[in-house]
Amino acid sequence: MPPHRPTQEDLLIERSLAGDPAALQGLLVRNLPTLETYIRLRSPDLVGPRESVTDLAQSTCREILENLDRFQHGGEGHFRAWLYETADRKLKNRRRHNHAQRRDVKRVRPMDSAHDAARHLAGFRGVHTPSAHAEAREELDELVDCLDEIGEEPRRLILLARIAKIPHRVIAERQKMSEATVRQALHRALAALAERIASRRRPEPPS
Amino acid sequence: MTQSDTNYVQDLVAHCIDLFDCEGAGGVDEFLADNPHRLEVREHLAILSDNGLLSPPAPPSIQGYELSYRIGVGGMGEVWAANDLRTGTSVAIKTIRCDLFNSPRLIKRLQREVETVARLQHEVIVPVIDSGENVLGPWFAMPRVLGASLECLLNVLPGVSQGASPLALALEQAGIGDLDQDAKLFSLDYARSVAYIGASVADALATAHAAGVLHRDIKPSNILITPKGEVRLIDFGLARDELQSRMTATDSPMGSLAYMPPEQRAGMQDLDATADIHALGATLHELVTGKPPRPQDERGTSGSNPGDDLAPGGLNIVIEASIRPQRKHRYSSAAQLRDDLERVVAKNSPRPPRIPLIHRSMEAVRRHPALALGIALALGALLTWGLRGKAPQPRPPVQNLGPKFSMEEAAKLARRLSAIDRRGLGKKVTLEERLEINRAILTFYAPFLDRADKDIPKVALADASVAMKTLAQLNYTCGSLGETDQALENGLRAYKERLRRGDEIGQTLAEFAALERTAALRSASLKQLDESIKHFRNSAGYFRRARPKLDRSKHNLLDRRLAGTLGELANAHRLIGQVEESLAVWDTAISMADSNPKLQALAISLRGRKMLVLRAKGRAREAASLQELCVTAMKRMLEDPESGLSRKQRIDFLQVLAQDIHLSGQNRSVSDSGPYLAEVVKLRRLDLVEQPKHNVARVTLALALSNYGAHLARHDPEGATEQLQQSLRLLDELPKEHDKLADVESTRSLVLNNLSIAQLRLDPSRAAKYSEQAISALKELIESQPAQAESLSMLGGFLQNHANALMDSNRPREAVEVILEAIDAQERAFALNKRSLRIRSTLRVHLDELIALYAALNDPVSTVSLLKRVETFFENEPEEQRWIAELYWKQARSPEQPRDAHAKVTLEGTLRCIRRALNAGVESPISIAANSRLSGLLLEAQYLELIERKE
Repeated sequence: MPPHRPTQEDLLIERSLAGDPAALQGLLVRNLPTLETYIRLRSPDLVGPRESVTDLAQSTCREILENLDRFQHGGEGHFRAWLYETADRKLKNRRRHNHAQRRDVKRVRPMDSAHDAARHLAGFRGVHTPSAHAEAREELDELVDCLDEIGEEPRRLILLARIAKIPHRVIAERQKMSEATVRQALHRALAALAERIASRRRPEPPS
Repeated sequence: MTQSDTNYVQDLVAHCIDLFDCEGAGGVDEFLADNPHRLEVREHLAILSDNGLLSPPAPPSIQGYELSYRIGVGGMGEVWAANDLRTGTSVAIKTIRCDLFNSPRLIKRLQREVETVARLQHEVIVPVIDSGENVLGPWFAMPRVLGASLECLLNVLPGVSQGASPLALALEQAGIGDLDQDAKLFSLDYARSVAYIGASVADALATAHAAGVLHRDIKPSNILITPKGEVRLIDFGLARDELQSRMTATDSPMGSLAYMPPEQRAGMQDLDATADIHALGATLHELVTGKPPRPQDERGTSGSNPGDDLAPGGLNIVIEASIRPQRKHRYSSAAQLRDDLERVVAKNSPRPPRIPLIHRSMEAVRRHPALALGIALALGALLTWGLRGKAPQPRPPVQNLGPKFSMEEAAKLARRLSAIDRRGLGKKVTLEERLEINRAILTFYAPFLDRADKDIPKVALADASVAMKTLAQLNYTCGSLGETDQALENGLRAYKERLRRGDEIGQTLAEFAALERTAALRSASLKQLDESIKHFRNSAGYFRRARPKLDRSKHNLLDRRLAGTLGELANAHRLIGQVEESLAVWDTAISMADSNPKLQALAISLRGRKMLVLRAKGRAREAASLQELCVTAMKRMLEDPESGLSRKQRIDFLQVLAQDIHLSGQNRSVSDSGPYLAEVVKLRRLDLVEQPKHNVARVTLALALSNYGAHLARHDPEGATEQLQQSLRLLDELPKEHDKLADVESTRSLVLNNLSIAQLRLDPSRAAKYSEQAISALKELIESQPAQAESLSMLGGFLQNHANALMDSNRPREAVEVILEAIDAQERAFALNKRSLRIRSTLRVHLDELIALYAALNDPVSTVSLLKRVETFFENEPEEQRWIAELYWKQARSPEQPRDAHAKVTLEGTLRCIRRALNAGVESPISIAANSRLSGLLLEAQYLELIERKE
């Protein structure tokens, strides 16, 4: 294995903890596209019709800024794990809030567009091609629906490991499981997701 | 797949993800090698890969190098920082993105990039120093360039103070230290440093273009600046190498949209050096203004954003000339652009290409329609121009119209214009420009053409006939029927006059043949098929006469046209039901194409068309032997990127394949023909993008959308509706006079019928409305032409769809009437073409549907009278008597059938039909099998009848 080199993210975290506001801003900007994608995929019931992804992501970042002094850097992936846990908490609160308020459906505004969808897909793919843009809306809807169908825990695991790219070791530590269990559960979740998507794409048998 | 299969596949997928994380794609390949579920598992892995859910494993292992970390990830590849263990130098290694699973296409593309870059030697182009293959696919190593991309500099430039060298400051801001302050790049002011970067890249491009390589993805992130002030061009991943295969021939536009020229955005295939020139101009534009130019279509005048503050010192002129929307107006070579940018660096004035006078004047005419009036008036005179013996109506005096020229002047002007028309002065001339040019040629000659035939000067007659031929062809493609007819009439007379005067050289004959072909196509599209056949025959005759008189170099083209014309002639024969003539002409066309090795694709295509006719006419065995030959060849050529198929041939192949699946009635036709039909839509769309005024292309695209919509209607009604509505919109955009065209009307009725099918599951009452419109459009068309079996059978099909919609809308009584009408139409079609299996089988569908409907309405009397009607109609057709016997028998044995007069009638009907069928004798093994079943049935029926009698 090559020796571990401190990543750009590690450097930014260290500078942020040392009180450099520009570094902290850089760190959040860096993570923003993935965070937005994570939020969108994590809570399809909440975002879109009720809340803007951008607002939720900004609100998460604000909370990170306020509580930075509580964060302890434990190596690669820890900052991201903290960021997404904060986002999870935020989403839970928003859902509770919406439920309590019983918001009028008429006040709900459509937030999503093909362009946003393309942006969110690009957020975790790292690629933004014209064809991806054109098909983004359809693909994202398909992915969101199928993620929704495989259940809460598998979905959360996929999002943390493959969208937020938090190392298995960190997920295992946080969830008090062994790394092998995380790995096994993640691969089962991915296989289930692939099966859901594949079954949707299969043409109906001719009647 | 059973549930246990699904679980097993999921287990396999989970295991493969594990393997992929540890060992990459190679490990998965090895594990799956003999597994019977490997296809499903690969499909699932591909889904995860497409969604970015297969995690990148550790750095790939490459012998001789130690890879440390990933520098960047692109659409298909990733670049790793590495140490060369032999020399200890720092290198960059490009591999296929490890999360893109097992894509042979990407492997091929990366291999191509290695080969392409290896051929280019230029200090600005980062060379390949080593290459090889590991388990993930090919890789190559380049010297590591320490520097920043222009994209990175653009991010920091706004924050840099406007000092002596903003670029040097930006590099430092981006974290690149140890700058060589004496480097030329850092000693220039900002505008000239941008020009210096542009000149360096343009020089590299000139080398690449000379080697036949287009970069196709010039943008700020692919241009690097080193601390020594050197410029480097990277990433030939999308480059097209003319020496290699055109592997992206059917791809959607590749490259970065903001820098692409309009032709590349539109997905055009024949890109040239000017595409890279545009992208470089757009990059320089962004360096100067902070943003790339506004996207333009080819008709726009400038790509600059309003209010853009382009740089002084001539750089603005160079950028503007590089990003002109029409490629013919840009720098024609990278070397030209480099020279001008070097002039800017040296503080000299650039010399950008001037827009040719003809284009500027045409632009002026477009902007000031009054100027065009003279030409329009002259044209009006020409359209009524009649040679000797013609022109019964008074004509406006020609001398009052348009400018007057001497014969020499007219000839000089006409020749100049026709040179532009033919060669476009090295660039492509648009359809509208060609129309204007040819109209203008006729204007110059107007005074000399208004004479009796024998008095028209030879030069005027020759030039004018060519212009008329071109006008006829162009107007036909634009769909301006009035002008097409006039140009055809005058053109045909002019060529006849030329032949009468003994001007029988090869070129004249070939031109005459082409004009006759246009006349034939025009008649065919108005369904004047006899007329069309006459013109196709003339055309083929003139092509044949021209061949021995033409130079050998023109034989290939001539043979292609002749074989194509014969194919069209065969098709016209088929349409009027002359099947044997049609097949004979097809054979002539095929042997014609076979005799020329350059026409292999055409020969295959002609065989495919012949096969479809044989299949549609029920000659399955003959069709099967042809199918073996041409379907395999077509599939192979379509898949082979080096087959050199033109777009037209590709479309032709795809259509034959889709129709073959449709006609052979395979159960899997839904999934099989879909990709072919979708590809046809894609290619047809490109035709229209390239020539927006090409109305024939509009109709063919509408038809392609309709076919694809019909295919989707069964499993994706919403998708189908969308395609079909697009198709209707295209038809609505056509000029009014197009409504006369039979093609347009039949396409419209098809689209409406397909819409009805698509809506059947979604909204039956809307479906009924659409089918009603389809039927009335088709009836109108049928009434305007001599009766044809195909149209009548099609009407029967439309009526059946309408009946289905009515049944689903709970209107069964109306549905009965409609199906009776459908049966009537089908019987009329049958009377015209008794050999068509399609008509017979559609008629059976109508009967089955109607009998089921009568059963639902509890109306056995009508069922019996319907059977009697059909029995009488098919009295002399043993095939039909067999299945009518079965239908009678079904009624006779039906438990609901009361044991009364009806039972007796149906039993008698059964016996009658069986006897008729058996008396017709044995024709084929199928008849033997059917007859033995009938004999059994006969005994049973006779026995039953006996019992009935006794009772």
